Amino acid sequence: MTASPNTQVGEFGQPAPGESFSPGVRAFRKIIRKPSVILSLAFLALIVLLAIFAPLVTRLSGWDPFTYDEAAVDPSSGGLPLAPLGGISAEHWLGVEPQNGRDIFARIAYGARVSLLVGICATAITMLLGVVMGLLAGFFGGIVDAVISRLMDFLMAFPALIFMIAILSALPQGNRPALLVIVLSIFSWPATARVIRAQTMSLANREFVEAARTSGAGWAPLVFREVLPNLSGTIIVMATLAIPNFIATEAGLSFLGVGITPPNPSWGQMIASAVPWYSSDPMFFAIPGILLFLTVFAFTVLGDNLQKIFSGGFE
Amino acid sequence: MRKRLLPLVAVLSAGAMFLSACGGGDSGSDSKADVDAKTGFAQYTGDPQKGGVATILGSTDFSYLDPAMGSDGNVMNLYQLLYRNLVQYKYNRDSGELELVGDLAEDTGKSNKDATQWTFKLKDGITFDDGSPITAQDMKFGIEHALDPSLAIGLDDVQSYIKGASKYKGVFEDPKGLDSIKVIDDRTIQITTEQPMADFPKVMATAPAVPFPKDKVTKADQIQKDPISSGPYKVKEYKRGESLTLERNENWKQETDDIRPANLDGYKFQLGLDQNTIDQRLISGQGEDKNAIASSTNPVVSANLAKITQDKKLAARTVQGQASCNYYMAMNTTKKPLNNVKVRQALNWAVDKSSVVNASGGPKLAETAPNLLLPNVPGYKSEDPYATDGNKGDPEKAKAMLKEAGAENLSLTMDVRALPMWQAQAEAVQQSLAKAGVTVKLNVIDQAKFYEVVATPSQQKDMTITGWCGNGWFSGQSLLQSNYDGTRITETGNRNQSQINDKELNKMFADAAIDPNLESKNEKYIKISDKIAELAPVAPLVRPRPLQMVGTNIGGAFANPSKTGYIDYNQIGLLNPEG
Amino acid sequence: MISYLLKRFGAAIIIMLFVVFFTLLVFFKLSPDPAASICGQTCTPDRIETIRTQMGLDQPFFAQFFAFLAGIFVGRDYGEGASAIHCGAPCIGYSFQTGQSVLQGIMDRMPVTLTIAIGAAVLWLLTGVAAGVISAVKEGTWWDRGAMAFALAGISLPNYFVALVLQYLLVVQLEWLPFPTAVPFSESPGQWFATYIMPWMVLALMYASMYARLTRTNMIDTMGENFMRTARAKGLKPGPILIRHGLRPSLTPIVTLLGVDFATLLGGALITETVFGLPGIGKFAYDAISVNDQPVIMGVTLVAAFAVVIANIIVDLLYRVLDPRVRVSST
Repeated sequence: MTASPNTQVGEFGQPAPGESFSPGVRAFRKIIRKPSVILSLAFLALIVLLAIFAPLVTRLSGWDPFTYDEAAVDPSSGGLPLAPLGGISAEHWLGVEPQNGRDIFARIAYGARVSLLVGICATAITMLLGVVMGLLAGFFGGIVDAVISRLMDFLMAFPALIFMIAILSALPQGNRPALLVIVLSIFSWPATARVIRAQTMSLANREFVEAARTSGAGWAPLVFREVLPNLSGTIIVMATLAIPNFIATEAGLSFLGVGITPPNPSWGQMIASAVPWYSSDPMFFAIPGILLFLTVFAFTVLGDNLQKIFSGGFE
Repeated sequence: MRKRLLPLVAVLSAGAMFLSACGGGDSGSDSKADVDAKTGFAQYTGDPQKGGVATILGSTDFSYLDPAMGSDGNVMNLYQLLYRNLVQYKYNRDSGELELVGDLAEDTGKSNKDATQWTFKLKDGITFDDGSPITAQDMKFGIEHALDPSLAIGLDDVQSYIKGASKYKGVFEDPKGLDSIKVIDDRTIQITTEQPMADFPKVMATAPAVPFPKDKVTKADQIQKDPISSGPYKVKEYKRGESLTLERNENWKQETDDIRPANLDGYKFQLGLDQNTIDQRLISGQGEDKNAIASSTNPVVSANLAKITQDKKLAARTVQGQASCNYYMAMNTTKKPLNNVKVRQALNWAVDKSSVVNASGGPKLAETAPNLLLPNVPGYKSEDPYATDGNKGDPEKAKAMLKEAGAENLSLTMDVRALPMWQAQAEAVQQSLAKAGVTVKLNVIDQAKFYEVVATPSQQKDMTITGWCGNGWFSGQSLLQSNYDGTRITETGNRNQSQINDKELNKMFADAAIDPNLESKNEKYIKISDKIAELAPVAPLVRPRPLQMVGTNIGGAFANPSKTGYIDYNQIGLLNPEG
Repeated sequence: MISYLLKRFGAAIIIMLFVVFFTLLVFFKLSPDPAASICGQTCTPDRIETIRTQMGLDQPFFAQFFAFLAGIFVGRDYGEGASAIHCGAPCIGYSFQTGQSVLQGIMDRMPVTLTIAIGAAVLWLLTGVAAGVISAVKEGTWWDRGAMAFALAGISLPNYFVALVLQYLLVVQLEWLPFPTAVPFSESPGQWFATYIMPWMVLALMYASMYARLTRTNMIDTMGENFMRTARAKGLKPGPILIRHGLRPSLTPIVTLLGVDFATLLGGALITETVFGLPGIGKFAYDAISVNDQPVIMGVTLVAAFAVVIANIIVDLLYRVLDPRVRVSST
């Protein structure tokens, strides 16, 4: 968490500006056969399905994420689950929360919805803002570039984590996921815009764009037909790597108590509430922690491999 | 009026965390140590000896060193190490009685017939930490210092009861002081109250009413930065957020003080620790941690309960707190249909108090609250007018009553502070009301904003869960008046959160407050409590009984009702200062 | 060069002004009343008003903004007359909840944060760059793949999870380390090391992963470049080539990243400090947020932003010195 989104994005600057990406079909084929990629895709598919069909799946498992099952916990021991391994049983597939006996499987399923929703929406908005601003700055230069660049400097100088916590704890509850998406995007788009700007600048001076320009094309066709398609590789890679970053940040904010509001479940919040229990009921702590790690890891592995394709690492 | 709220205490108990693990440590040698046969928890950890330094492990910093400003249980516990009042409480462990005795004063004061004028005579030989004597002049200045508007954010009983105090401009603007606080001679002080006040000595036991030397306090933030002690200890070093070290005040004389044994040579408060770490350190008791105790902001978290109860040695150095707070669900009586007493009564019947107990850590960490008084209140009865089988609530009865009141399919919104225990309690209430057909939506509010919302009638929703604590002055006046007297509703900073404004009840409050006879006054408050139960503006839920752990070498630890039910820092010491 | 510097500092000042303005505006508009937070539950409307006046919260927004700016240069008095509280220049606010100037509070906590930041940076630079270099040299081997997989995992692990698991294993279960207690090095070197080693490891795991990947990529790139081939053709030995021609240019982006990462950490390793209960700037901010102590939140935000802005300038300068290929302004 100490690594703000900005820091991680620093890595994306690696493909040299101006390089055009032309991923070969061969590279795709090769990469799709890597065991790490297959495993990551399979795991993510599982999580996505779990999230999408959460209401259906929990009807199957018999417990929704909110109902207390006090019969599954022992109040006189402070509320420890009665069954071993955190109350894992045929009744509760991943055990129950101590004290109130809520079903962890159901909470994980619904929590996955939050994580993915926030991660994907924040990525979409960040990419949109970042690409538009980066294109504007890089293509037009001059005063437009100066204004946008200063705005980016300003936002990137901000201690994003402290500020996000302060804002989120001050704002009324309202629609938490939407607030999270907005706050995350505001502090993250400059990192994307910076890369896009650099690449646009060098693309704008390349022969084919020059050629199109001298043939009298307006700026819109230039941007959309000539520049943007050449940036698609970068955008895909950055987006894939941004998703896990946002998922991790959302979980971190929820862990600190300013994310999704209870009783709605989120993974970060589940980890936070499990902290006191991690020696007396380790499964309660381990399950959301490991799932969060695996999800972020799987996305990162995919992003990493995509990056290799687009930067020609697999030629 | 007085009493304090539990922001921090509660926050922390709620808080969370914890590990646990390898256990152990030896139990101390049993010098009159006393273990409760039923629960296995310590009633008393044995007689301490003189000398040594104890470490107190806490997760939060102290609020303020100036006693005019701090009002949470933990800082008031600390104040009693640094400052002395005219009168103070002494707790008798054997009888369970809390007695008010003279502290700086020779006795608990004498009043005129209608209890409007109170005279206290100071003891001989009492001094500040620089050795200068404490005079009636200093006492007067100390109280007036606490009334200064730039400081007065602590307990406000002195403002409420001393004549003219609420309008006073403060010692810096108006150095002449209040006419109602009169210095008769060097050792005699006479205070006039606004109205007859039979309980006035208890006002003089509240934290802000301590002496400061008149000529030596010149700046508003001076005491906060550099406290002037009248008690047995003084501040040696204070690193904000990190540690507070106290050493002996050599000018304090044991023979003038029969409340504070002053066993230790010093105290070291370690602040800002993770809650996890505190429990864990005390459970494992490595090295110096045998001389450590948990701060009264850091009771054992429920995750460690099983570990402690399963190990007799650990339980024997765990002190169970006295119930000194009521947590309750306040219903906003200005909102429909909660303005209907039948609906409020129905909700009182519907609430499953035992599940709220479970949400608060289970029956070993909390008990159900039958009413809004507390065990040390004179004439206290423990009956619950809404008693149900196993305290599990009676949803059927509630349903029928709601139907009768024409309030079926009720949907209500509850303000909840964003802290784990409070949320768990709210969710438990939500579940139990659902059984009576009432839908409850939770409006979760950040802790920092919570009081502003619930204390501002225009921002309040239908319901909230909050609490009120006693810390020495146990009476209906301190526990009920500011919360249920309809004449005290304000636009901001409102404490009557149900906004109950019942003419008859208001009159009962007005009448009881000025009764100059303490006995009949106390009886009146019992009647008021019954009346409140009938009007049902709130549903009493639980009384926490927090557990506080001490190291193997800590003696003198017992739960003191005048310290919000926690261990009294003043009474502890080391069993063996050498080891 | 001088005019470049002046330009950079000018831009930095403007950015800081915006940070002050924006932070103040956000708190002015959005946040709950800090006076009510100070007042707590035993509060009356009169007291809230008194506190508001004293804190200057009754002033309009721009008056507050200029009072804040003025405070930085000439200090500031809160309240009036004999009961006023003075906050000396440079005053970046006064916390009524702790009775301390914010700058003093930050300075008090700086040693802990510095210790964490420096120790972690040393650890992650050593391990990260070393792993990156070895991976680059042995590109494509199992060593390379293993190290890079490990690095990816390191980036993906939530650091609070790592911190708690580490503490559970090393302190609670194995009892190899005592519970963290922040002591100065001079007081007890052993305890000092035992306390800080865990936060260093937690932060280093995360950052080293990034640095390893970055070093590797850069090394591979530079080693493929013409001047490297020339050097090799001249018959220079692989060792010196690696260091002088391979590693040195690869370090440039590392230095850039290090500057910003380190500066960010100076704003406090919020989660790490909070989880381990270490009284650094991050924990200071976190505690302030939980009790709505606005002056502190503002102050830490400003100091953290200041660190990043200054670090960016230093990094730019270093960039010019380090990389022979770069002689143009970077932004």
